[in-house]
Amino acid sequence: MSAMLFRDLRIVYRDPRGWLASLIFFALFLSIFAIALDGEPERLAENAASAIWLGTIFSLMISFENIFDRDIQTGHFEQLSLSGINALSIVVSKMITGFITILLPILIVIPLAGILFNTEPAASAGIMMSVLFGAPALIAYSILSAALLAGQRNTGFLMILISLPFIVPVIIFALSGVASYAEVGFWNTGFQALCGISIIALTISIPAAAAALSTHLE
Amino acid sequence: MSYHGATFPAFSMSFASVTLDFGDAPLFSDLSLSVQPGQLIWLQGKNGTGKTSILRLSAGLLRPLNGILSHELAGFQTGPEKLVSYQSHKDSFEPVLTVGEELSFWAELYDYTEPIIDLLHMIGLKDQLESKIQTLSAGQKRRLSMARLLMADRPLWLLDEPKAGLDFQGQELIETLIANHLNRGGAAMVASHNPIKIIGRQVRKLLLETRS
Repeated sequence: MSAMLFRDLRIVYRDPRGWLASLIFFALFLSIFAIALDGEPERLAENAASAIWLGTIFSLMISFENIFDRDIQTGHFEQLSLSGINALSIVVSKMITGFITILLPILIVIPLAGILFNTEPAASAGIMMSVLFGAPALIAYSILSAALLAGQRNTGFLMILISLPFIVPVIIFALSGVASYAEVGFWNTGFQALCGISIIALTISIPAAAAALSTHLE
Repeated sequence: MSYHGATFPAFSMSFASVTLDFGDAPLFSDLSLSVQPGQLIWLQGKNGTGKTSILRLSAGLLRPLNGILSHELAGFQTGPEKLVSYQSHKDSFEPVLTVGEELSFWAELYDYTEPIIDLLHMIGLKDQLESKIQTLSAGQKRRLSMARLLMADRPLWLLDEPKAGLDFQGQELIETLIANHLNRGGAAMVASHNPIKIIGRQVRKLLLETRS
């Protein structure tokens, strides 16, 4: 597994277009959102969490859309399966790579987004916490959709359709956690539910994505 | 499992009344064949007659519509991954990585412990250790995929057009590697439009024809 992860990270380092595109999309989305709100400081602060969450979801979807396609097209998966490595290791490696190369840069720029949206530092911290707790669920659902649709073209819309029913509760609990953060602190019921959803999403999505991926190897 | 140059244990791979269908008419039906240690099978036929499909079925990358495929190693039924190495017509290498990085990755997966540079020397790529895969020619990538085959060290080689893109020396190298493999008790099934000649070995030919 470590060899797979190291290889995946090295490929992203050598070819950074994927994570850069996702980060640029995130920045553009937030800028347009801010312009659409007329730049009014109060409205911006009110909508900061929603905007950042939507930007994060779309950035992740864009980045994970074709995450398995390159390996399928080049025949790399066939060789991996013949080496005896299981699809579970492939999925976990892609998830960890996605977390490090796509989500971490987003988490780092959230305080800057907080400045753009005129939020208090504590509110920005709350939004960061919510993304951190909810991100495993987002990545799990994105990777499951990507595995189900691997090898097909123009899957972005289908990915959103498949993931949306699962992502809605994540958004609800994330925004509720952000709202309670200033009063209750980070261990509020919203964030607790978010952690629970992330654990369930990982437990279900990893084997399901591995099973979906295995069908492409036959 | 790596045999580190030693003789392979007894093995066999067999098709019994196998039918393959891609949705229209069957590509072939009731195909029966078996591969034993020391055998070299040359799959011949026009494009679209099913040469690659037979290799992919043998590697477990396709499932037949009907019939039974079995892989046996040292007297036990096993999965294809323990028995076969498959060199497909695809490169299956990551263009942005270097030759050394790619081979190190596969060496870790296959528990290959010999120095990679020795392997590169054997396949004629000793000066390409630091070269990115995207800078290699088609023939050099073909040689590189042979290196992975040697690392995997499986008894049955499935080779899809192994001579494609290779110069004369490269084609000779492929035949030498196949001969060495057969001498260790391995076997090879080769789909190729070019003849495969191994001195002192009889080549079993399987001619595939289009259904009329």
